[in-house]
Amino acid sequence: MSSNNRNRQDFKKRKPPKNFTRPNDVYITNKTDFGAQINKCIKILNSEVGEVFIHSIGNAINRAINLALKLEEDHSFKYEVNTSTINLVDDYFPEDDDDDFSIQKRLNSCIHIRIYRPYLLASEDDNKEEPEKLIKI
Amino acid sequence: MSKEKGESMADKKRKSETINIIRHVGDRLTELKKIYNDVNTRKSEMLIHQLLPNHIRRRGMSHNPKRLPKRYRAAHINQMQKSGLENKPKKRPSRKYRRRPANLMKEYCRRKLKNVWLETHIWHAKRFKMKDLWGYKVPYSSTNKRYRASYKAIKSHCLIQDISYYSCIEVTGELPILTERLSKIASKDCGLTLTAKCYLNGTREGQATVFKKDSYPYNAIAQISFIWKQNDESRKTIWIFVHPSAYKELLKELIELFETVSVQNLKSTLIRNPKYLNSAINVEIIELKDTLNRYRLTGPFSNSVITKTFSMADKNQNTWLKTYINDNPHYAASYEQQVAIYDSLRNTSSAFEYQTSGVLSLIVTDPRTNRLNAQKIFRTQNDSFNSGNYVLNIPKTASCSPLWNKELRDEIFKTKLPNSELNKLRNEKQLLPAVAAPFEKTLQPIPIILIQRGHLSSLNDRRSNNLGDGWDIIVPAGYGLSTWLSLIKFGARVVAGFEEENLIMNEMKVDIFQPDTVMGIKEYERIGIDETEKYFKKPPNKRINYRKFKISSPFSLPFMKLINEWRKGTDDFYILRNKSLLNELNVAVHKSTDFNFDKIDSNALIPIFMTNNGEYRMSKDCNFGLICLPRCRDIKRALELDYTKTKEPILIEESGHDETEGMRKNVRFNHKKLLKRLRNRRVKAKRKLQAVSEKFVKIQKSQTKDMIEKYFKDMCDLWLPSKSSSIRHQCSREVIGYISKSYFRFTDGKVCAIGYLTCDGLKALMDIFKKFKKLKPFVLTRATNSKNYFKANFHVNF
Repeated sequence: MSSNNRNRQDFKKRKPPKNFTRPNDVYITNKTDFGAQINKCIKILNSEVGEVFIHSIGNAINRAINLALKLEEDHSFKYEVNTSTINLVDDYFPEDDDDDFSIQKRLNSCIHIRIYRPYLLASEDDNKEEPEKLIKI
Repeated sequence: MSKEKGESMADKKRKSETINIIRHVGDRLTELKKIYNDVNTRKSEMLIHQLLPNHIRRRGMSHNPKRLPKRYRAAHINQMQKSGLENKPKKRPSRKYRRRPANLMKEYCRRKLKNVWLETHIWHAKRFKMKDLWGYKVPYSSTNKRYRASYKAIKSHCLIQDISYYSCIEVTGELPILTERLSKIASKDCGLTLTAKCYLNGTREGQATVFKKDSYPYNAIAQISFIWKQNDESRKTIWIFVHPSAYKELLKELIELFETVSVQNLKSTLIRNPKYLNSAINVEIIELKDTLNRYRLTGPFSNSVITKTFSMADKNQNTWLKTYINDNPHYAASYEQQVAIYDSLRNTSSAFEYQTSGVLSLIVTDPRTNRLNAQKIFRTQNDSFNSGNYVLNIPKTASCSPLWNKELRDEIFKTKLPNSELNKLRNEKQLLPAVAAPFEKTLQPIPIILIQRGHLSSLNDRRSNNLGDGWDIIVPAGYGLSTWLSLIKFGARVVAGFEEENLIMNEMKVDIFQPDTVMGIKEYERIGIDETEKYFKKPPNKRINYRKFKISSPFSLPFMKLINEWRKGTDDFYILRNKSLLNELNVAVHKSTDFNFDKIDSNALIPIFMTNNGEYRMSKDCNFGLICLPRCRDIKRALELDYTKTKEPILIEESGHDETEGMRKNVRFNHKKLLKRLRNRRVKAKRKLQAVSEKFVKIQKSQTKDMIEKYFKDMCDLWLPSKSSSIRHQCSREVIGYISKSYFRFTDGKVCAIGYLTCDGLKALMDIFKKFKKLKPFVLTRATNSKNYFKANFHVNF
């Protein structure tokens, strides 16, 4: 893993891992439209599943936090947050015939936010009187 | 017998007993000729069925030869043909007869003579539109509507394609000689060459563009991919895979490069692998065309498809593998390594977790034996997603494969157990369904090579990361179809043809048919001919009048002429492939800074990639479109339109004058008149004859075929724009380049295009944009079927 000759020209990132692939896992990127992401989450939250896990890394963490706050504010969903770190790999291509391919392993931070409908918890506790009201979100 | 005087009695006696045959016959030549003639010619004028005695005659004998006794039939048919009576065309045999296995095979053999068939031909022919391309019958496009499905497969499933027509050439020789000679056909400017250090140990597959000897940057032949054989000796072997349209040219170039001579007798044409040898430098070239199958799996699922399809063969079974390991002890260790790597590959879930363009050799069991319940195992939860288990530092022995051995390949081909026998054995010995019978373990294993394909999209493309990743599989001849079926059974459901291959390349922004390579020249010629034919099949009022549209080359890419008009005195052109220059240029375009254009030769074309930002589009599927230079007011108008978010073209071309319209009308009028006159003459002649004759007189056939053909050709010339007209100033905006293909790109959700600009054109463009500070340069594009100019943003594509 020599660091010489590392031009931006012959450098490429590999796709980051997607470790969770359940139907209610949503990966947040900066490229997708924000409104579309919100709609996607709401659709899952209003279905039988009732909870959604949003994941994002690096730059897009901001987006994920915004999304969770927005969902809380506008639609009164609840959330809980976890953070973690993932391994990423970049490829460096040789420019010269004598060089070899090299890779760079690096770490990046991620955020995992669980967003859920509050009535699921509430129904277990003392607010049993008006579950219908809360379902209509 | 003539008697001569003065001979002894013994001589006389001997002569009286013997006959000199030659003399004997020679004396009677005239009589013999007469007899021979009499026997062969019939005296009577009667036909055969008329000569037969009454009791053998049957009704309708002259009409139906089957009523004649068998021995007279051939003569009868012959007579009937000679007498001018048309022999009825033979009735097509019944479908039932034609589809008997033996007859079907005969028919297939006949059809194979014209074009080479892939091993999976029949499978494809049932599902694809087949086309004659490059000497092969190539699956062109699926009969199902699968264009978008193919994109989905690349993105989140697995797309499979048979690319066995990519032909292989094997070159063997001492490394120093190979390095020296091969460096003449590739350049370091374009990236790594064929003999780069990282490829030599055989662990990676390389890509390169090859040129004619010492003529870089001109005369590009094709983009090739290659792998080196893994061995520690100084004598090295390389496999070069090339597209079939450039195969002949590359082979010729290699033969000239190494000065090799054909080993085989030139007269015999049916040699499977022709060989060429140069004994002075000990270099050998072998054509491996049509002996290796190559399948391409693209998409995140491809990894799981492969690991489900293939299982490693047992080396203790009594097959060729056991003897091979005994004969080559060094292979035993690499076999173990390969097993270990293949196991770790099972834990990964996508091709891009493997070493980039890594080569992995495997010895797998006969794919026909793998009959696990496919539906059950298809798609487990974590299949298509990255598990984070990378397999990166592959030892070099992992690519050591017996597939490189020609004798072994031939033996495997010959000793394959045919399907029919395998099925018979299964019927006898199998106890449980979908469980391999014990005898199936003894079937011979096959060596295959897996090649990872990753990061092949163009380098400055950040958005389509890992799009088009997957595996290539090289399978020896004979096992093509069974491997193919097995791959499809285990999840590779969406199959690609030529069109879908183009789609993958388009998504990756890669132009495989670059217009200066042999491949590209042939391809654009083919498209041009097709399009022209299509154009003239339309009725005149449905044809686009290119003269009025001010398009001077609707069916070709006239780069040569365009460059010549931008700078006089050029005689050839090439596409700029120098990576560092392209990178600099890209930065300059991106940041609209100054660039010293003296660094680039004026004969160079600069590859660009264009997209529309607005909702208006370049016309889809319209090749050969124009790229034009905007004027200041166009730029202002573009800014205005952007500001008001108006979906309008920047400029609409004014209709041009069609000076040949009158001529066409004239020619057509005269032609019709002439035909009418000729017809009237024939009618008159017929009437004259009819007046004398009692029988019905037919009208004489027209003799105007040549005349009509000539008329059509003349009309075509009058329809198409003249070849002498200017290219650069063909319309109201100066032309700086051409679109080689435009298409809808799913990744962007927009119509995009790949095109080429002339160096001087780009310079002029950058000069204009200097007046507009901080504005990224854009070009105007116009499709051949439209008068509308649209704005297109672009970046340099490499």
